[in-house]
Amino acid sequence: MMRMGEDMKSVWLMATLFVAGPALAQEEQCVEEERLENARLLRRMSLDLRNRVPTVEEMAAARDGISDETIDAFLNSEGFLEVMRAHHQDLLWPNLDAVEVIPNTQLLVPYETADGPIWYAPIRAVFNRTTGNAANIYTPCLNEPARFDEDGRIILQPITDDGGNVVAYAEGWIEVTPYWDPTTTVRVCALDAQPDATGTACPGPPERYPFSEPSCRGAAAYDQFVTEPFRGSQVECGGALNILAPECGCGPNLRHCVPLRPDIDVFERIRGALLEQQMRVVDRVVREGLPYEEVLASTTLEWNGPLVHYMQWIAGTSDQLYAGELDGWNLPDKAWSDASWTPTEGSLRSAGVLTSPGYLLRFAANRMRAHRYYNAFECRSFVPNGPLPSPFEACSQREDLSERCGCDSCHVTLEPLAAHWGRFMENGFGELRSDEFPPLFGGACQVPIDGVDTLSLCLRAYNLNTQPGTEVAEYANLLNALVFRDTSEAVIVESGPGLRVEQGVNASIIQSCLAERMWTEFMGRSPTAEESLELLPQLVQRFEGEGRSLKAMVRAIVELPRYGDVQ
Amino acid sequence: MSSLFKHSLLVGGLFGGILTACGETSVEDDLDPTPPAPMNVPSQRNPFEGHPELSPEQVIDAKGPRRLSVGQLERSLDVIAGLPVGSIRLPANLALTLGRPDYQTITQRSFEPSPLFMKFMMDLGGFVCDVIWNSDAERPVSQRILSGAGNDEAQARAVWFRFTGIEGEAADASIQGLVEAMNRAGAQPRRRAMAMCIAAATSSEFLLY
Repeated sequence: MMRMGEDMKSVWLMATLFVAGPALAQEEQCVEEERLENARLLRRMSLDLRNRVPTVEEMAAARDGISDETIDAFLNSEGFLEVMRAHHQDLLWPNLDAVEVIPNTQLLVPYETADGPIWYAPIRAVFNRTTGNAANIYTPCLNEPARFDEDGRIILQPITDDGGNVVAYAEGWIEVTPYWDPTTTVRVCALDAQPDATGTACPGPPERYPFSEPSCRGAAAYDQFVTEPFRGSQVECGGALNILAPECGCGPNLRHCVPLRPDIDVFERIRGALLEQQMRVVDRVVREGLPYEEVLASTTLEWNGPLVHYMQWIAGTSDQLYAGELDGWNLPDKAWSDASWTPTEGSLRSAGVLTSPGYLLRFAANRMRAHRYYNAFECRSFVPNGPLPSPFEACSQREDLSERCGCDSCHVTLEPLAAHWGRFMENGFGELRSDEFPPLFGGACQVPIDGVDTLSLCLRAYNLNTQPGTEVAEYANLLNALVFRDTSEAVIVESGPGLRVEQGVNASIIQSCLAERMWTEFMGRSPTAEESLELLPQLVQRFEGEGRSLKAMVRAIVELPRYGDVQ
Repeated sequence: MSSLFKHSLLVGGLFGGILTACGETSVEDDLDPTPPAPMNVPSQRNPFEGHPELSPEQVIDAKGPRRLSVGQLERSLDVIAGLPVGSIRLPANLALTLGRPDYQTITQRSFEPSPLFMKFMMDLGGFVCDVIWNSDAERPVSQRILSGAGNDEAQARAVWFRFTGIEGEAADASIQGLVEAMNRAGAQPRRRAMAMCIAAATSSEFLLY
């Protein structure tokens, strides 16, 4: 805690009186440049490359010069990884605060009682306990041990209001060993703690489950397209429809759920791991001296226990966020408590941070994904070519944004660029595999479809608009990413972002952008026109000559005489 | 009145005003309910007054000045204070205020030496210098940071070098200022050391590079 007594206030004032002196002394020479003394230069390098000032001993040792070994040591330090992380965070904007990473149906909250907390899932209470007449639709269970009938089913007791109307059915609690702390047990409402792998969807009657009924009715409307009627079908308790199956709970050891309490950091660990995974891609490329484009093209991702648990047991429970087939991620075998990170090879469409779950969640739409990449790694921006024309003009009616006047100047580039993410579901991170989701409606979407959850994906993945007279109807039954794309562009969708990265490297766009960004990072200013024309190409040349090593480019910058100059 | 003294008055007045309001208050505690006494703050002089002419064609090709980032500040104060790495870590909300982005509302690190940052550095400087002083008590005299150098000038030079890497003639003017700050703080060793340390921790030579 920072506190200063009365006696120190005057000390402070004396100290601050000091601040102005040297600045003023430099005033007369503020536009001159001179070379830094070696100790000062070492300090500059240490701050830039290690994220901290050097020690007194290091500065004293540098008085006679800064050796190559010193720069090497700085570039190989943990501090340099921090510097590169910070730089790439500025490019990737890692933040998932606005993303529903955990479906609210899977959140457990403590219900405090005199005997300690009972954990329950408020949203599940609405669907599974409440009958619609309750003042509190988030009815928790009873503070008593759960009872079971002779078939092992949970016994529910009717809860009535003052008028004798049944407003909910509630059960007792059971003791469960949670996955986040296997050394203890917690009391959990029995319905929420059910360990079943599957449950019966919408068993009815409707008046018993009034909050499920609209969704049940909606799902049943598609019965003609699926292999069996939705009501009464078996659904996965780890799947997106689990909330409509009263027999589904949080699964064994509560694995499908996440506790919310300040002293339990399950949520933070999952969210943190999704962001950390991206930074570890950068770490690996920097530490191992891999070609820089591996940040954007590597098929390797690292996984820790919380992230593996999330992918295996929680992500799939969302009806909004498509997590894809688990085998595509090639997850290592890890328990929740395993904090270590293990690399695995993902699918061939993987493209480093650009297809990592955290990036795809942060940028939910393909246009967002493409835009961030375009700006961050190609150093290009979308600039409108003027105000929007009248909406009544014919060209303003065009459905294809790359043809619509006022939009076309940006979207003519953005639309095909966004198509590189066309095989990664928007609002999710799952890959739309070619065998399940072929370019033309079919595969897993072939009617009759295996379940309403798959049908839901098909509706999201394909353009099913066949309305005559619309432009989009010309692309009916194609993957959304192929709409308005010509046949020659299909390869963009099938290849993924890695193709764009490869093209960017071949055209030296990514290298030039990197040189500009590294220059700005370490020189503390943008390059001048002259520097852009003369010095940056030299940096790129050295970068290319040393295996596209990021360290080589940074080293080339800090070895420039002007890096050691002071204004 | 010399320009140096005028400038000192300005900075001292501005920061003195801030200190009167907040000097006794931690960043986590309530503010002092007693309003500060009105201060006679001199009007700011024209910052371009006396500045040499700048040619439009003149291109500065040296490295641009940059303020320490929040991360650099945390790590550097660890080094300067001789503390284990990670000892100084700013709360997330404070770090955001001082320029560490959250990548939701702010997406770029800030390197601006804003008045808010300078005010914060005065608080943090006092805190860190206090930590150094107390840690010094546990160290052999030869390893102390704020004392043990023999005389005021030698001590000021050692501290200035530790914070800024500046030494020799290039440090002369600053050393004079540090010694002056010590003298104004009185005779008590702790007060003198704190004045010197806070002056170094809030100096542009430390915070900009």
